[in-house]
Amino acid sequence: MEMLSAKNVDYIYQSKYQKVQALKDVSCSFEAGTFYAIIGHSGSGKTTLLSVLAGLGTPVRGSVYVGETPLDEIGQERHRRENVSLIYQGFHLFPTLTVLENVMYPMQIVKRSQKEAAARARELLASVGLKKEQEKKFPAMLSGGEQQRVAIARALSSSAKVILADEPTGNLDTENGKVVIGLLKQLVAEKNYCVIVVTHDLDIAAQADVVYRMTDGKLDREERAV
Amino acid sequence: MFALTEVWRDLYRNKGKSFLVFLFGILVIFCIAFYMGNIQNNEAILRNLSQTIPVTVQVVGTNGNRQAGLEIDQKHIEALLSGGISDSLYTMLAGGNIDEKNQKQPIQYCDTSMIGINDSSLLSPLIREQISYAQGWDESLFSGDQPACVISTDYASRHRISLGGTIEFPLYVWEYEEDDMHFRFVEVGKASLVVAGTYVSSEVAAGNASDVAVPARWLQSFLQDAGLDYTYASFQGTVADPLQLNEWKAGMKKAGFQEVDPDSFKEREGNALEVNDRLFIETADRIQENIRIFRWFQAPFLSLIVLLIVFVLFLVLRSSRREIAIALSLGRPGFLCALRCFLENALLMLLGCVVTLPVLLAATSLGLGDILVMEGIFLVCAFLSIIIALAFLFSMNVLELLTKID
Repeated sequence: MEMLSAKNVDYIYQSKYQKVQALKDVSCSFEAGTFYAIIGHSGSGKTTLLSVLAGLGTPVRGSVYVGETPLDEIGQERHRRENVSLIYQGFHLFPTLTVLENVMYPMQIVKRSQKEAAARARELLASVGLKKEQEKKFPAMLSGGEQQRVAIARALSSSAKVILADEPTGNLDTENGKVVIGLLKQLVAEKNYCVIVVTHDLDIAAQADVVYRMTDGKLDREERAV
Repeated sequence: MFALTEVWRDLYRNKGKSFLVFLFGILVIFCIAFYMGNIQNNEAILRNLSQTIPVTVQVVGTNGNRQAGLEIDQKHIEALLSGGISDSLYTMLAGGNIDEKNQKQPIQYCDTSMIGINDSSLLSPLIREQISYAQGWDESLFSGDQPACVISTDYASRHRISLGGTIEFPLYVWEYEEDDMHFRFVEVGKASLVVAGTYVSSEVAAGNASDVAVPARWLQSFLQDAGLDYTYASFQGTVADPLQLNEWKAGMKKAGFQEVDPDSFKEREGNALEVNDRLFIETADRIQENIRIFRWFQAPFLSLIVLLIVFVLFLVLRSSRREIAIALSLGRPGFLCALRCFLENALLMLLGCVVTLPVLLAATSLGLGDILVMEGIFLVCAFLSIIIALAFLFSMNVLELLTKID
């Protein structure tokens, strides 16, 4: 089932000093229960594509679709709230919220009760391997790997079934990186999530079901044996 | 509910930032209070200026040479008393002949001079301090209308009068005939006065004081009962509302008072006014100019305050860009993110107002109403500034912080 797709997308990045066409006629689709990797050199447009898919940027041409529905009709804020979850290289947890509060946050945005949100957050933290005594800590008190696991738990706390991960292991050591990728693959296998990972790491790309290669704003799907 | 929880949590967990904004708010409130307080103080000084620099008025003769012994008609006195004069002091003159031999017509002169006064301060200090009053009498007799008098001991011994006794004599008023240059005496009636007080004074021998001092109101009613027109010998007072001085002067001009004409030969006719207003006008002008300048700069000052708050709050809010970006990336509506920031900072500003209110009440002369107005102005500036700062912040692409474009 096609969960997310982009059709003929162009994206132009306008800075103070220059104008860059980061995406050129990009078309791609992403299905449930599949682990995708988008690889390419720095500056090729991988993160830009992820941003557009997440509704963090508006293409100048073409559209992003959620199933059959264009993103324009859904609205970017609602799309980020209900359809996709984001995981970043820099974790991007709220520094003044505890681990538990960080995971509860997406649920509280959609007005779930405090009690329900707390209970669900505890389950998710346990599922990513974090101990109960860590839930009252602040992110700065955790290791990089632990922070990324909190970010994954937070990503799982919304109703979204698509996870967009931008270099999720970029700030982690090898061991922790393996744990994080393992968690993401587990979500794909066990819960039918669609996981899209932007990465430089060819080892991670090798574990993906589908690999897209980005070169100078153009996207090509690489065929590989299943 | 979640929004309020978020606000409280953020304020509490970012204590340093919260305290900084709170302190900044207090500083701005004090700046506004200082500025606005200056205006209020100047206005209060201006309102009360008549008490520190009273504008006194004296009726004088036409050519300004005389201030006493005038002939001020009733019409002019009534115009003054009903025309915004306070603390008025006036005198009336009359005469009598206590010696029977002097009572034969035509009356050539009076052996008893009488002065009617409406306040004991019109007596010379030397006499006033020395008066011994009979039981039941004091200096308040002059503001009443009882038939009583105060005489010198010299006069009392000459005419064998004792304290508490009664003197009786025919009372005369006189008119000065300018053509013939002599006084014409008109008998009014027989005055019977209780000797309420006596004094010892050498001024009597020198001829500076009248023999008999009576309440002016008694003399007025005595003359009125006789059906006579009468005049006043002197009048002075204080303009009650000197801030309306021009209007008052116009009113007095309408009532028949004129400016002093030094070239005139007339000096007894009490129809000119000497107004001691120079110091008051100079001082009031300076204060009004100060007020005018402060008021003129009020809008630019408040605009500067708004800019300052915008600048500081923008810097404070900018430090929260990352948190805002994370919230937006999780699908939190931008409006709610902005509202949370607004509420946090607005609450701190409001807290600043609450804390400074008792301080301003205790440390300044400003009233509660004035302080509330000032703090209201501050809150309007603060809220406006927060909104402007947020507008600047959200006009930037905060989400770029989360996604490095490669």
